Amino acid sequence: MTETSAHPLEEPGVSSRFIEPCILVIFGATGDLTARKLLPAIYNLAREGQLPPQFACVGFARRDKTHEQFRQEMKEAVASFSRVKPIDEALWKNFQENLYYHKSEFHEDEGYAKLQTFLQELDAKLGTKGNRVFYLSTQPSFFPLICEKLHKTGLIYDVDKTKDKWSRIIIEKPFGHDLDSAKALQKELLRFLKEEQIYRIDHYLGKESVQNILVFRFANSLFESVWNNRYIDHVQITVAEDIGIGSRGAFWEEAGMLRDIVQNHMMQLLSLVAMEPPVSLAADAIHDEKVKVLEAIRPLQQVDLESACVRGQYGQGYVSGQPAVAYREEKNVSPTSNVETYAALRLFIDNWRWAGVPFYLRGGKRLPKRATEIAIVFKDPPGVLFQQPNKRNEPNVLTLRIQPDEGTGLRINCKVPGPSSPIQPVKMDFRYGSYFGMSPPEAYERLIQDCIIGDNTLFAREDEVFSSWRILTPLIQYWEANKQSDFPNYASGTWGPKAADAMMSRDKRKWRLV
Amino acid sequence: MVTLSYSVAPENIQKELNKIWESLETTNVARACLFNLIFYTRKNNRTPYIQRIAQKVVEKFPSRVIFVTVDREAREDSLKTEVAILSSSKGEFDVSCDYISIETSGASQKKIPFVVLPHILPDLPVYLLWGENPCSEDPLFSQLEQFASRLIFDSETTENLPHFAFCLLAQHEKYGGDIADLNWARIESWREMFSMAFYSSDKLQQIAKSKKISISYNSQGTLFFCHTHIQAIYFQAWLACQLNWSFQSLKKEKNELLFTYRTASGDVEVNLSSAQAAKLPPGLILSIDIFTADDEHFSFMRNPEILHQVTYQHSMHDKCDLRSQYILNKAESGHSLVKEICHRGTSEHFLKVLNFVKNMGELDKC
Repeated sequence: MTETSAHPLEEPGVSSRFIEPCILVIFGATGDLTARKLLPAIYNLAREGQLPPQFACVGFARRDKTHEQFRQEMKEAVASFSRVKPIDEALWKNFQENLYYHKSEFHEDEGYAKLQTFLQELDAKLGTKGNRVFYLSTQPSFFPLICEKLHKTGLIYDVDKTKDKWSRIIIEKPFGHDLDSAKALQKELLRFLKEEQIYRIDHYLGKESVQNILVFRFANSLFESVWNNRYIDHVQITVAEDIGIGSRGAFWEEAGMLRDIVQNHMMQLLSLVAMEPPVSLAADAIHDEKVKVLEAIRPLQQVDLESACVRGQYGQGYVSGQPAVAYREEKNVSPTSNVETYAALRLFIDNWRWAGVPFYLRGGKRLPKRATEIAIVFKDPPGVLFQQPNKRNEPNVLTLRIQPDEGTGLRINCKVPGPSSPIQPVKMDFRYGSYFGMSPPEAYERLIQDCIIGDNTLFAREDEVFSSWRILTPLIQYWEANKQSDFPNYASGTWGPKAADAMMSRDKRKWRLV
Repeated sequence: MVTLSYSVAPENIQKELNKIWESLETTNVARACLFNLIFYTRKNNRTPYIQRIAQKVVEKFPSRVIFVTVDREAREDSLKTEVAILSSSKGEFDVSCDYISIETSGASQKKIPFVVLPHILPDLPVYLLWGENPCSEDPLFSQLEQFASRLIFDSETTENLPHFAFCLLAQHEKYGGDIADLNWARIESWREMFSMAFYSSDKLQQIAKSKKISISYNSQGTLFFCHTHIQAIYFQAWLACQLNWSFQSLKKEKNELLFTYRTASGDVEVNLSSAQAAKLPPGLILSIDIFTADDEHFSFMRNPEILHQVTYQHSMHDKCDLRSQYILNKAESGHSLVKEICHRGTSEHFLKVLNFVKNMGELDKC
């Protein structure tokens, strides 16, 4: 977020943010995330002049590979997955010169010692000044081990003692698997790092459409004035995916929908949509407000666990006309698995603004389409004029579409032309794609750049993560203790289990057809 | 990019546009409009250049374009209007916007506002790109400017840059709205790069101790772009203004301009020298070398093969840093240019530069 600068060559609100020289080391560099997201993001940052001129990227992984092989693989990855195609050959030629591979096991002391020597050589060669970003794109169980080894080798600097260079760590989700484990992980990491060095990535926060939530709310007086329990009936947050779990069976068996999607992405969306205006756009001011709203979420009671939370697991079915296998038939998944691939829950925020307004969250795999949105459903107007017997007018709905087809829609009621005056809902629609004829940066581009700059606004702070786990841990424990007997309970390509619809019906509401 | 184009009577412009859109209803064409963009130019060899700017803007920011051309040479009373849909493919669908062309003879120029005004879309900003010298008294300009939320000028149109600066400042004062200049926007990437390269306080102190600065620019002009020194002048003026250097003198030699400034640590000479690079856009800054009182040298050299790449090297009398590469953000031709001319308020830095330039003394004509 921009702030007024005293630097004479920097125009307030206009100039680029200063990016210091650095080396980015990716742990787990042979994984999918590196190929599909990280390298394309780094390449695009380079393409747009958003990387420091003194920069190198080192892939750290267990497989045997030369620098040249790694470069070639990454080139193919960038060619396939970059948002801008085709690859700029001249630029790639320069870019790849600063792309390296380092082979080591994560537990191997020698590998870290060699890494340190290698990075120092790069510092001398490129002028990267000892600044480091370590991106841990690995299984979460490796986080403490890698941090310990980095610390032991002197690759993580003590922020109190080292002022002329910095080291930061980006950690992929999930951060822990419940409240206790998140706290334990944090405690472990703090043995080697300060909180200010930890960047917990939630790529949803890097999306333009998610960043636009705050702009939409606080740069438009029209909406903020009705953004409360006086006008809003309820809020629906949907994260729907049409794909299954793919090759992530082993991971999914340990995670499930609550841990993989709800605890991070959905709780972040909820906090952005429900938070109070921050006093400034400084990182801590925004984090503080997000934490306040998460802290105000009413803890789930036994009755909620039984009736306001629904889980599902996909069975066989069809998605986009193609047959889809059941979750229990996926690779590395137990044929009797009790893991949820769908979760729906109702939360209440007990504060002045939101008292009495339910927030319905649903997220699922193998639903009919890929769509993430926040729907603000408004209360009905007094029914004295245009209500017809036995037929309610549709409520106004404001939809913030996060992906795909990013944009904003507003449903309003309108008179159909003619003498009989029936009322018909119509939609006003804003689509990012049609208005801004350019492809927005990928979330990872923004987030990697922010970390290099040292701006953690779009990363989750420890207390945000803890608050989120605090809300969901009782549900996780309840679901683990009580097996669901009817799994699979929804067919692939449908909108989830009937119990989720029933939950809404009990509240005299229904899920939106996304 | 123009997918459909129809001649139409002025009174049928909207009707014809509606008809075209109706015919596209079942296709994958999305209609979009971020703002109104009015272009004005006389019909001459610069017209295609201004048209290309229009095209670049709507590729990134689809808008309603009203393109006004006046043919001063034509004697008869003529007014021709056309409508078209400008379209650019964005994957699964085309993003398209309205294009209205108005071409008149000089005798019919007075009719232009009456054709333009009904076709400005309400509730959206109106940007007027005035492709002519703003100093000339043109009644059309005063008629159109009152509806514009932002005035964009092109210093290329002037034979007298100080007077141009004076007119822009007067315009800004009188009009109060936002103003911009294409040549100022074109050096945005260099300004950003400098603010990054000299971000640290020690580097900033060094540049403040400059003794000599050499800037070379591409003086290979074209039919529609011959004032190739303007970007370099703007850049050095920006540096001087932001570092609080006071102007002492300007000497003009055959292919060079030599500015002298007084700084806290003595005088600094800024030398603008022309170079011929036929393949590169005219006016482009090619290199900047800064020599300081402490014998330090900062060198910025644009890569002639990869235009937006600049090689940077810092050397001292006893050692030198490794060369590194900056990537300019392609402001000359892309998204940043559009952002600078359309989306930002009037740059405070630009106003300072204009104030400097207006007192600078006249330069050679094209």
